[in-house]
Amino acid sequence: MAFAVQIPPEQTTTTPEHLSRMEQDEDAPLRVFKFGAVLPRSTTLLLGIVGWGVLLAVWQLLAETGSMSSLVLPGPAAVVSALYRLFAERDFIGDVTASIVRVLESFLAACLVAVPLGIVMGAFRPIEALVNPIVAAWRYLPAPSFVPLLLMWFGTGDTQKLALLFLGVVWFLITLVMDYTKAVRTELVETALTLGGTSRQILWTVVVPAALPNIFIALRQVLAVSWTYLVIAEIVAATDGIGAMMMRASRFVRTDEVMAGILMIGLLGLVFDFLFACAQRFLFPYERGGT
Amino acid sequence: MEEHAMSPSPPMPTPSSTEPTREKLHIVGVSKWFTSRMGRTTALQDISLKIHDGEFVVLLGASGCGKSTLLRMIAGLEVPSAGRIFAEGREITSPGRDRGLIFQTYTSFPWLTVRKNVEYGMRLRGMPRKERTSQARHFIELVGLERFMDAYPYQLSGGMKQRVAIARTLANRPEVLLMDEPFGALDPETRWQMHDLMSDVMAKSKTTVIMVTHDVEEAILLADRIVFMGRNPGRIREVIEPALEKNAGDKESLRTTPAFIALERKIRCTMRADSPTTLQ
Repeated sequence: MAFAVQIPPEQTTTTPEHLSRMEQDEDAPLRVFKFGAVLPRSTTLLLGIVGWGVLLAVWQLLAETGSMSSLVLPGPAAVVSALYRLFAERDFIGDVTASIVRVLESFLAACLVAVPLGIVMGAFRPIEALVNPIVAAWRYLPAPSFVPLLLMWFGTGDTQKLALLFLGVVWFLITLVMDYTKAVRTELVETALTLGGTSRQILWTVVVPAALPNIFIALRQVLAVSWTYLVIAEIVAATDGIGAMMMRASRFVRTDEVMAGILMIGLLGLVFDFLFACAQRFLFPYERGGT
Repeated sequence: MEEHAMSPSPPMPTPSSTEPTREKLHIVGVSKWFTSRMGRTTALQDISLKIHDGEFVVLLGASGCGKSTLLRMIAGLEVPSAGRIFAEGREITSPGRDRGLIFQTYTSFPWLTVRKNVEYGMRLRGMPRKERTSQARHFIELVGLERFMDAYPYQLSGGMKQRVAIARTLANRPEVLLMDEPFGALDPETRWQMHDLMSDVMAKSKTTVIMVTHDVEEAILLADRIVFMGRNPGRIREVIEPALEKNAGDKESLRTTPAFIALERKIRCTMRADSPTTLQ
């Protein structure tokens, strides 16, 4: 294509001047309490590794010196090997799959309700005035407090677990989608009005595409919340899933397996966040430059 | 006008003419006030103005004189508190594609390429793709962006984004082009380029233009007629026709002609007289 595409900053770092400046930065003493400091990539990575390293070392040390019983606090190595054994010998993959399906199903249901509702609430004031007082009130009710009710309504099956995960995220999602829709610049809508757009046309061709990148960010954040509700959902009347495995393990005081479950949820959270980030870059390539 | 008698307006002189005409635009005794807890603020008081077909009218004035409010009422985005506005004899009650508005802030849709942005208005009214594409190409060439057809707005400079907005509005074939300080956010050099572009585009497209600005030089360079507005409350102070030889020579030599300098001086003096003296 013939147009002059702006060179992304990553590419410019390969120029000699940039390299020398980066080296200079690395040679310079690291000043911690400096506002607006620019950290070289390598230093950022190094500090991240150091942080984790210290945490793991302290954990391993506590576990090994026996100041805490290995029954209460197994070391990181023991947790990782427990995770490996779970997969190799105990068919953990079935539990993991069950959990992933649960999170995705409930999340999809929440999206199907929250995204359209949030968009019309954000776009049209009367709808916001009608629905928002309800949403605002429900948002502050802790989802786990619905567990007894959900057990009575849906029994101990999967529906009850899905309902809990759904209730845990849907209110936040509605509010976030509404706020992002309201944040669409009025000039864009007014421009479309003076170009002859009807309300319906403008909703679909301006409001939705303008709000979509931010709505996607909201989905990403709320999916993380969904994972945090997973264990609560699977503790009650546990049959399968990562949470159920952890409950079984805790009954036999297998602390290493409980912690392996926590580790697994953390890893899954990271994987899904990464997938979301990739999808974001693919779907909204024009978002990199701001407005 | 009955509406006038009923509205609880502040003391107001009766408009000179209340009969709508077939003018391109006819503003008849328009006032606008905003009510807040502090009381009522009058933004515009009794504005009457006729704008003829093909005219380039500049609304000039300091901030707070209500020039943008007037433009937004012509666009149909705001409703007058009193008085009425007619476009070719029909009263303006809502926005419509006969009155395209260009903002100071960049309004190119970031999710669409330059081509799709310019096609937007035509797509809204269901114009066939083939016709749409050729129309879009014509107007993109008119504003000199043919090399950037498939670029996204984030890849463009501020001046180029404003050109996209101009092409998009013109491609929609409005009767009147409304511009609200369209070059206010641009650096001086880009602004000059845009002035040349506007003169060029207007000579070719013969659209009626109403442009809001507080830049005296810009007003004299572009306007067939300058409507000079004062504030507290916003009203028309003077209507000036800068009868300069617009197309003779470049803008820089035009800017240094005695006629230009005299006119600029006259407007600046009126502006000074109008501005509050509390700073002394």
